[in-house]
Amino acid sequence: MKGEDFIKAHDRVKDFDWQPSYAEAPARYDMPYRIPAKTSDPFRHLVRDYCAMERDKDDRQYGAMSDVMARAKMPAKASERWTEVLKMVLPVTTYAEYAAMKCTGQLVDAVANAELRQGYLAQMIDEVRHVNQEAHLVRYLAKHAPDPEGFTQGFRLRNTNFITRASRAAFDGFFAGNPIEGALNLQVVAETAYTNPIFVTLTEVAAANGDQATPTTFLSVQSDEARHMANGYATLAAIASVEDNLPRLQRDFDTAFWRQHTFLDSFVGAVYDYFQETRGGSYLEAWKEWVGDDWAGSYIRKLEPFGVNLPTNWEEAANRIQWVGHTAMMLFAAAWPMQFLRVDPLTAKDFDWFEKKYPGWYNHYGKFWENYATMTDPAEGRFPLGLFESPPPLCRVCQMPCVFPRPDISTARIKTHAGRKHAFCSDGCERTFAIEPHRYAHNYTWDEHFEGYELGDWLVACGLLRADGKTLIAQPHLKRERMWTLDDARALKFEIRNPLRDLPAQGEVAVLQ
Amino acid sequence: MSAAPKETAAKTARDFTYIKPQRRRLTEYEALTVHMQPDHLGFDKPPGVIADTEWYLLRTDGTPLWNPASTALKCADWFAWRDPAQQWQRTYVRHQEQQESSIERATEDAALDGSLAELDARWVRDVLCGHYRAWSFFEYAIFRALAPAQREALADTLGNALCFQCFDHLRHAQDVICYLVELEHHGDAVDDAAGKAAWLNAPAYQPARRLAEEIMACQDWAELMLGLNLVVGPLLQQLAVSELVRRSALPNRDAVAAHIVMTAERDRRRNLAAAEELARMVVDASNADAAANRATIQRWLDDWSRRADAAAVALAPAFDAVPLPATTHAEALAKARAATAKVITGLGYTSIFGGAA
Repeated sequence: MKGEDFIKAHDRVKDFDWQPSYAEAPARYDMPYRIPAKTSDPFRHLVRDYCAMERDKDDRQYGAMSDVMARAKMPAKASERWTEVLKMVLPVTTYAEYAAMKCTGQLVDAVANAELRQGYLAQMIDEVRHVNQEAHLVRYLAKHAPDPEGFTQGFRLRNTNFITRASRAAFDGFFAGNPIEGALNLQVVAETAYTNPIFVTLTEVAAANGDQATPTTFLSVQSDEARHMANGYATLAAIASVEDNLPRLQRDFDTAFWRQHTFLDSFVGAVYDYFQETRGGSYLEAWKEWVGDDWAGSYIRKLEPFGVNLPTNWEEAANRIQWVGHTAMMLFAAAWPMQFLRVDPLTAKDFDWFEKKYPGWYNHYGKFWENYATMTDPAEGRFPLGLFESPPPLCRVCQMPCVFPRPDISTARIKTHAGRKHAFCSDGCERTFAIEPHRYAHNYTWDEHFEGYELGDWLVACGLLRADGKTLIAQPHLKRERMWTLDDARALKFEIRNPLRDLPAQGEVAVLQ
Repeated sequence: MSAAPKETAAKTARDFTYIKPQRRRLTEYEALTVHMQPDHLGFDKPPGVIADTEWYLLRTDGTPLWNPASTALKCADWFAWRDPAQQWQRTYVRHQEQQESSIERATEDAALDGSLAELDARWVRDVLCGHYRAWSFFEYAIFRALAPAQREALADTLGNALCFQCFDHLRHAQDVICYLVELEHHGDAVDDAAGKAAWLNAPAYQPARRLAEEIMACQDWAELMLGLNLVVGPLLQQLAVSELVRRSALPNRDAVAAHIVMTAERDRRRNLAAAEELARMVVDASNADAAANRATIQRWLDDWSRRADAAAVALAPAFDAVPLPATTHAEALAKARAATAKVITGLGYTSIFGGAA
């Protein structure tokens, strides 16, 4: 269907809603916004065109993976350092896609606008597509990567690893709150600001490191994201067109941005910068281009005349980018036995690159990595976290360690609320908590879950051993010889502690009304 | 190029061994679908010291992200449910693309061979515009209802199946529109607005509209899945679309309309099988709440049957408008009631339409 017929059909599919006469649907979701009846139309496809477009993309992606790449044994040729981090990246992104699917279901229900509803439906199926594509990539790598351990277990381990738990805390924001809060978290922040650095720029890193499967999948994913960004823009513009919505919109936008920033910038920054072997650009550079210039400088600033302003903590976030990935990676590597991938030490070439891309890096992180390299042999009987006087507590809101942006200038604080002690990594997380503290009543940190566990017992309980039942999945190097075993881990005599238990509170959370 | 680590190479699994396959081997559908949704009581419960059910972030009203109260049915392991069609996104979209391509080709051929221009104006005006277009609003209501149902479903396998069914119904609704747009090139009998007018005002459609609005107001995702597919599909959609449009399309020389309906029937059969699988799982003897679930489902089936039947009975005037009818309303209604009774009694329930359980 083309031309005038398409326009006619498209106009008619936008006229499906009617005012109920017999049964009014009760409000399923809290909806503190008024939605105008007419909005811009983000989805200019009929179901028919959509199916043809997506089938074509699927055939190209899955066809390439099952044909050329498999025959050429490409996964085995990729940089192992890079391939290792995909064990964690892919379960993280897959859950984001799943949460996005749930977000769009809420939006179809709550946003009384047929134009937007059909755009949300297409996104809903897209998100199922992305879940399947990314799970398929995990399974593909489990079959073909040199070391499948970690790929085969990643989804199972997502709730026992302190980083993947933090990803859950971020992406639950896509569908836990009111539907517009979800759209702000998902479409306006995560998709519009962050999918380009993740699905476009990160694929350049993958390709440079010999991994063709990830770009094939991620670029196909990203080809849907432009429509999702359009959904986000149409939603945001619709909400902002009603003046009474603006105060609540800015509040939800602020918390959405901070919730996504605290996890995504530290996680993606660490992945981007520390798992490149053939080195190119830095995450800081990618962030400045895609998040700083493109998203904040162009997309959001254009909305200022309509009353939508940059997030309140935008400047603070921009200043933290220089360091948060390094800090996250230091904690991640320090706790390497608790991961489900191998983290190899940095080389002299890496040191030079970091200092060049992040001037001052060595002064803050160089010694840690030098020491890390001395502890990779189990005969040394040491691992970095075991040498910490006290590990940092984990943030009640974002679940990340309270050491950001950098341990020496950490913005962490300990507060109490309703007789319970909470650590917060930043003003933004404390403020997010203070707006709705009741939403964290069943929230526990990794430390609270596992305190008292001896490391070896914990590894066994979580299933972090290889198929032989004695070698750890995680390793502090990529070597084939003398891998760390359960006996080596037990010899460390490390017990998981909950640092929050002993840290004094600095007062009560000032709850915001 | 690297080799696998020496110590463990011989025994290392290369697939998702944590998923319990329904049959002997893990299928692609299972590998890409199962355990994508966190299971806070089972698969995702950490082995730590916290006995409480954990949620990183509750909803604004303080309830959990996935709430067992989202359905009246009880089940210890919703994640055990499997889609009998084993659909994941690629297979589903490929299937719908094939169906849509076949409709496009059938429409194009009928346009070129003159069949569309030869259609009886009364068929186009009274049946396609007056009835089938009105029915597209019913399909749209199901799309609306199933979007939040997939959000609330208590397992990924169930949520995905509801998501695909949600898409089915918007496809059905849009296909009617696309066909009428094409027919405008082949005569002047098309009145697209007649469908919405009938839907909103004609007495024959008010019980169906009432049911559509009640469907959109239904908050129990499992009730929707069972009510829509075990009752509304075999009774009301069978009558309003299969009996009225598809069967009468051939005597009225409209092969395209018949073809469009047949693609919807294919979807309907898939969704029926999915609902039957759910109905069987929750009353399985291994489920401690099987008896309570059985009573709840029986109540739903009776209630949905009465409401859908009222909508079906009211559609008699639409049958009277068919220029060359293949069947009468009375015959079609009897057939649809019998088909519904067969579905319901086949699952071991009683039907208000008779038949032994």
